Amino acid sequence: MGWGAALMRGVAGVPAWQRRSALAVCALALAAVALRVTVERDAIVDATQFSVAFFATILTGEAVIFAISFNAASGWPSLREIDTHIAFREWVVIGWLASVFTVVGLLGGSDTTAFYGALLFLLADVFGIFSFVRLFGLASAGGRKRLLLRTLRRSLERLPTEPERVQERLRDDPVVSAYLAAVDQAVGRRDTGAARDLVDELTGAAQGHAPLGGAAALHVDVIHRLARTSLMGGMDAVVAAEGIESLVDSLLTIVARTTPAEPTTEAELIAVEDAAVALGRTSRYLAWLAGTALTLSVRRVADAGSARELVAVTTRCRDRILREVDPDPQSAAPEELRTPLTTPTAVLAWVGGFTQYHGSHQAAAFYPTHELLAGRKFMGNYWDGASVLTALRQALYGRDAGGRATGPAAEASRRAFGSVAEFDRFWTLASVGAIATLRHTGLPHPPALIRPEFTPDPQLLGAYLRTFGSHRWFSDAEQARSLLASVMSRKPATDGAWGRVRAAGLRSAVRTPVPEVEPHHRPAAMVLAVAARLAPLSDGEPDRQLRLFLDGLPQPVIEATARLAARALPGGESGDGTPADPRGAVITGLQVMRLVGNRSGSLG
Amino acid sequence: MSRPLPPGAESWPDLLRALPDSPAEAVVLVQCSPGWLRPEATAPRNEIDEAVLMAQLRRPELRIDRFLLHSLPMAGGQGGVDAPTAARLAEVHQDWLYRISAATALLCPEGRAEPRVHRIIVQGDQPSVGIPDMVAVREEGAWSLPAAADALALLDRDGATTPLSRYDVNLDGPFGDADPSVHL
Repeated sequence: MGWGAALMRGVAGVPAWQRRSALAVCALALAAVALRVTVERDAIVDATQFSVAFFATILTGEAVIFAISFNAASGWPSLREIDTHIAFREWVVIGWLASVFTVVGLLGGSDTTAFYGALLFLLADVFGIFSFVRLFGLASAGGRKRLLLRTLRRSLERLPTEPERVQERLRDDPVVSAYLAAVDQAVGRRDTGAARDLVDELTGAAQGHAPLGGAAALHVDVIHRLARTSLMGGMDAVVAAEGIESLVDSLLTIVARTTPAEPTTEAELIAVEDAAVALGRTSRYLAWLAGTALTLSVRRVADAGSARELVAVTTRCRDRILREVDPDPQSAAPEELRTPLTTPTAVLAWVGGFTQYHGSHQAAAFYPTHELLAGRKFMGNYWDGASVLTALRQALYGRDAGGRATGPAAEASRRAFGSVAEFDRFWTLASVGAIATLRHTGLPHPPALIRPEFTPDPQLLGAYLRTFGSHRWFSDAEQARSLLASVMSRKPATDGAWGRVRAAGLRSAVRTPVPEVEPHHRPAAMVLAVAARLAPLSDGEPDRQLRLFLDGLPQPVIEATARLAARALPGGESGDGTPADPRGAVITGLQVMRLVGNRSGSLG
Repeated sequence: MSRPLPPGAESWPDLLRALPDSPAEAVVLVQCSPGWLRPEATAPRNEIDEAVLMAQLRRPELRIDRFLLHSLPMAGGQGGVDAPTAARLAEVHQDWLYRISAATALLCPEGRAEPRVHRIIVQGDQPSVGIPDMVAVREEGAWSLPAAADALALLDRDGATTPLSRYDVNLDGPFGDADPSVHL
């Protein structure tokens, strides 16, 4: 049986066109035999009767297995895939040729032709056994899974490497469409076994040679289908969370496989940026998912158990992504001492996504960011109030040339930002997205949904906001107004750091249902991002310049900013309306930054 | 479409930045050439936008009239550009107008001085607005460029221009920021 299985495996690996060629060669060889050998007509008729009987037996067997194992409406696997796998069409065509030659030979009195037909029947019987065994293999769940994995892998490997063309191909690809339809069916039916199998098929298929773009896009798409159905009560959240975790792990493996350690060519640089965008968008999506799970749970749209599972898996996955990106994570294994983010644009694309939607571990994300951009570690502690962005600014553009970071990473970062003004502008713009998407502090945070770095703790929020707010290079209201005018008026240059990150995002095939909004479409968050850089960071520090800045703003602007502050920051009036004292709400809200590095701080 | 920026346009930002300390009484700024929408014009456009806004904030009594296109005449593939290029230019144009409008909304309290931005309405097949791009300054009642008077005359002609308002600026940002669960 061992040699039989080995033979089947060997034949299974042969592409369809080679199999067809081999059959044609066999048919020609049999024609040569028929021409050279003479056989009596009675023997031909007798042999053909046996062959036809066997042919019919196999056909019946295949029909029975087919009826039991497959649903006619199922597209996964599709009839085409099953046919390709068991070579059904080839087998039937040989049988048809055999019967034609036999009948023509018998009616026309040509023994040679009839003999050739009999020989073709013999070939059909041999091939029929192959087809039957292959079909039997598909009757088991494992066999089907292996076929689907191979099918999906072939489809993913055929996707173009150019990220711009991937989305279009993904939409049109029949295999991918059938796969996604099967995912929808499985989660809709709450078929946890099928859902697990489908996730396994995708994670297995993506580990071949599939380019990053299509595989990553499909991973994120399936993550969203699992999460959405789970939140809406259509899927066991434990299974959905398992699936999401497997898919994120698989995505990290693809990223590691597709990103060169030292990119030099244009294609390699694009591969690194594409991977960074995929990780940034996935991180951002996971942060959004955690917040949405909390919101829907509080509103009783999603059940608390599902929300708990999804919150837990998102924080775990974001931590894992952070660890993958970090070139030197804590307690690292030797294989972890690498990073896929080997260009400044890639680092910025990732951290820009990672710091949105109040995502877990976002302050910690600035440690690898500093190390990757400056080429040396940040030795401060944000819990003690140390400002990582100020340290990075010093490392790249400090006046003290001796304290400046040297080396290829720092040089590349200086080139990427262009100037210290562009460095400041980049982080101001990045902070707009982070501030605009902070969670609603007025929402109750049930204890069941508390996870490390996913808590209602104002100190943690203060740490996140302070990461950006402590990045300061101006100190008065007039300069703040100039900055506000500048970041709103100026369209970022396409060859600047923000422009290149944006271009990488536009090129990427990875899409999430959460739209990416440019900072200038978030005016209130832009004001708050500038105001945060004037707000006192410790008790006793004057807030005169902050008040002057706010006093100079038009009333509708200060009201919109106050609504955002009341929603996203603790301490003031919490709600969706406009606070009675808009300026006071902004000032009080920004006091959350004083809870970090200033243990006696309060929100008073 | 490949028309370059007007001669001397690179000096406009410096000229506008100097306005707060100059004896200028009024300024007319016309930027209707499609060349302003080209990628290489991004930097001078940014400089000018910022300088105009800051000049107004520092000298509220200064009257600034700014003329831009309401919509692009070459939209829809006319004017010698293909449809994708026309779409890209239209996107840049919309973004430009939005930024001017939003920056004004953020920094200029309503009812107080702000740059008056007039959008010149052109027909789809109209090749140009008939007024050259310029920065003209009025000092002691005299314009530095006579064409400034032609631009201001458009304001008296019915249907020739429409003011850029802050109506389209949603100060709160997209609704999805306040309730991200809408994206589910």
